[in-house]
Amino acid sequence: MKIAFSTFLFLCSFLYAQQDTITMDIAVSTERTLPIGVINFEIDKSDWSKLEELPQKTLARDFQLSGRFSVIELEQYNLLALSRVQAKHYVTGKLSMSEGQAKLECKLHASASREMVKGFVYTSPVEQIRTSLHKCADNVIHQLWGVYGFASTQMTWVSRINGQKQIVVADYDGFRRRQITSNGPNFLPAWSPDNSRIYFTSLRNDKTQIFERVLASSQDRLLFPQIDQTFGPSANPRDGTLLFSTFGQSGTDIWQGNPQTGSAARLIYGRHIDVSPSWSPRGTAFLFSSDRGGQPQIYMASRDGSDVQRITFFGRYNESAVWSPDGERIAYCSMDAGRLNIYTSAIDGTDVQKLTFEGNNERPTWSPDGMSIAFSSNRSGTYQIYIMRRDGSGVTRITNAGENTSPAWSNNINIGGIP
Amino acid sequence: MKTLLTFVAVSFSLALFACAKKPQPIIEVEPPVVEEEETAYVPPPPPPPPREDPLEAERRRLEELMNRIMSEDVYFEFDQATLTARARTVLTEVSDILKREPRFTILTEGHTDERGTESYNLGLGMRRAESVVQFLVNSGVSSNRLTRRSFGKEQPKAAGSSEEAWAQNRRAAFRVQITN
Repeated sequence: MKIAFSTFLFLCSFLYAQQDTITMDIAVSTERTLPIGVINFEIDKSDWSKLEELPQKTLARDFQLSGRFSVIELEQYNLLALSRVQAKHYVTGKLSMSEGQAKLECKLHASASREMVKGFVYTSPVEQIRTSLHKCADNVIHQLWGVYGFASTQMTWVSRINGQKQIVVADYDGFRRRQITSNGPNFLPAWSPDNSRIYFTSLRNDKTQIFERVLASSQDRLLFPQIDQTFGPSANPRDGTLLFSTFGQSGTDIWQGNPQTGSAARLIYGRHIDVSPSWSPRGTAFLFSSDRGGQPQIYMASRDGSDVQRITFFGRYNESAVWSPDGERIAYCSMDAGRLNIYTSAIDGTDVQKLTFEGNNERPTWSPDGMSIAFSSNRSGTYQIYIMRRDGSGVTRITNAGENTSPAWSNNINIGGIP
Repeated sequence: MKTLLTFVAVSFSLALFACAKKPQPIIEVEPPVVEEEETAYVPPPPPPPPREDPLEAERRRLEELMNRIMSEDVYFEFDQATLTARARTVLTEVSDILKREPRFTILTEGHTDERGTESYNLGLGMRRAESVVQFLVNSGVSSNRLTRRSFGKEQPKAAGSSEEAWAQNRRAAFRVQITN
């Protein structure tokens, strides 16, 4: 049994490695999606009222947002409907509740034979059903794609609450939002590599300062108090050190600091505005914006601030760049005719693609698997958070009310297995 | 603006309170030099009521000056931090007051309109504050009386997305404090 299991693990890692190299081809073939059916779960009608949303809805959204599937939702099994969209698989299951506990059975079936390919069972408190559904979605993605999706990830962003900007954390799909700051205004949030804390900028003391909030606590901690004004942190995915901006003698500079020890040193400086540092996926280099050439453009530097190279050459205002998880591309905002839009380009600045076209579109952030990009947009009249595929298709709004800006996607701590 | 005024009123009355509590602050109350310049500066001073508390009179005089500085916002062009001719006139006036009132320290706040990103606008706001501070230093105000902050686009003065609102929001504003 043990041997069988390790063989399975070995095969998995092999499969994973293989899939990783194939990802490039998928990108080239303009985001082909896999059709999949989601069939209504079996639920006792008396339990409906305890649910925020029916399980099939949550699951269908996970598949849609994953950027990997086109979803057909069915009330019951219907081979004709599944075949029409060439869905080779469907997911369905059963949800039962008793005494505050929920048991979710989630099954992946082959469409034609109706045979179960894989089944998952989760038991949780009723309030945690969404967590179980997200795990189910990630397991199905792993089964069919050989890689882990992001259905179990979180998102942090800025919500205007009682007129003041506050940091919130929610499931990546916008559900189960919780406010984590009360003193404000707060903005520009970023995750620590292990998702245990959020770094953010606050004006609560009437100047920009970076604070740390350990999510399990209720205390904010001021970072780098020796520096008068700091903002816009980005955490190194490997060692957790922060890059951030400060106001120097004659310009806005970029510093690197250790949030644990409090030590900090200047990396990028001069008579220009140098802002929006963002680490590379392996933490060996970073992107930032600088107006050293007259207008803000995206630059890249080595982790010690040396070897600065300009990346963007198209457009007159390019800002807020973030590196894709595979290290191949960047996403950033560009202003034309007074409006900000999201673009991506190859890491050398070539192959520029415009992804958004309506309203202002700001603060792109990659999903941990690099398939999708979240951003904030005022296309509906107010600022809300959206998720789209990395080619700009499949735009889905995940917030509905108030004002929501500056999303930052959590890191994927599921890699290596879904609990 | 209202909050600013309240802030001043509060901070000044606090300063005053602190003064009154200390054993020997009465000496600082009316330096004759200041008195002289006051008549040169503030147009017709209202004849003081017969037995007005001299502390009270000084408080009112300083408050007027502070309010004057704080109502003098300096405006900028889009994505610019260079001082316009109008801005220079305003700043010369502020600089004159500062040179006459050595106890005033000034916090300059740089702001931007809503266009562009939060981060870049924080940098731009600071550049505006820096232009103002540089002008005041060049005109003879000691740099250790001048501090700078940027609020980027986080604290607009005028709401809305019109050219008019934007013009109001691309500004540097002052907060004045009195040191003893």
